[in-house]
Amino acid sequence: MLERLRKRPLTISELAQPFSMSFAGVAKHIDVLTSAGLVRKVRVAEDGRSYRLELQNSTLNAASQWMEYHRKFWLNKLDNLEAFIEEENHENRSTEDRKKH
Amino acid sequence: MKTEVLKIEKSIKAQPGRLFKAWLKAEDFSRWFLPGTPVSLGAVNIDARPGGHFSIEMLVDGIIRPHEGEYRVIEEPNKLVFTWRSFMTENRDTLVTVLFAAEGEGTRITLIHEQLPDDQAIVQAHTEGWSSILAGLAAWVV
Repeated sequence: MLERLRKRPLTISELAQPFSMSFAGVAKHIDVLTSAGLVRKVRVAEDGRSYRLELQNSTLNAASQWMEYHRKFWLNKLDNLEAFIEEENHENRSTEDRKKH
Repeated sequence: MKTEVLKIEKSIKAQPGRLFKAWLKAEDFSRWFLPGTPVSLGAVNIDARPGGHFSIEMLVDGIIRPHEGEYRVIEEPNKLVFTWRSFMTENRDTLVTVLFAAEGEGTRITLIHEQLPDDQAIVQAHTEGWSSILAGLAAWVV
């Protein structure tokens, strides 16, 4: 359920759908998640009465977000380092070729 | 106690010494750490000695974000340890260890990024809060 919220904000009905649960049952659990600061209710602009639920990234993901961000960050940097070395090898080869001619 | 430690490994076809230098020579470092960043934006300062500071201005989603730290261990060509602080660490110090091990004709790089004790307490609080919610949720979904 939270995985689905991670993708985009959803209404209670949309959230309840795949779980074959009552609207009231879901609403009760949403209250728990909201009071824990994990999700936030956002009014739907179009009708002003219903609302969607949005994941509160700062609390929910403090640990996993840190890991995910830095894993990608460092993997990307190490890939760049490899590319840099290859580029340097290439430059050196070109210089040597020019010397030969 | 749960400790947040991130470990990444990568093999690169180059000698450890050459890779090690690429981390500490500002000119080389800028080329691979900030590729495609206009020179006017990406400022890199490196004081490569134990206790020396570094600062890197990185363009992240159109915003210039400073990344800073201090070198703790410089053991050429095998080990580099530095603190790391950025908007993504909430400007708290974290610790990065980079190990360079000769592997055939290349090098096995192991990068370990860990949070320091103060941060672990914070992360742990978040993780525990989240775990108990998850446990409740799992019971509910089943």
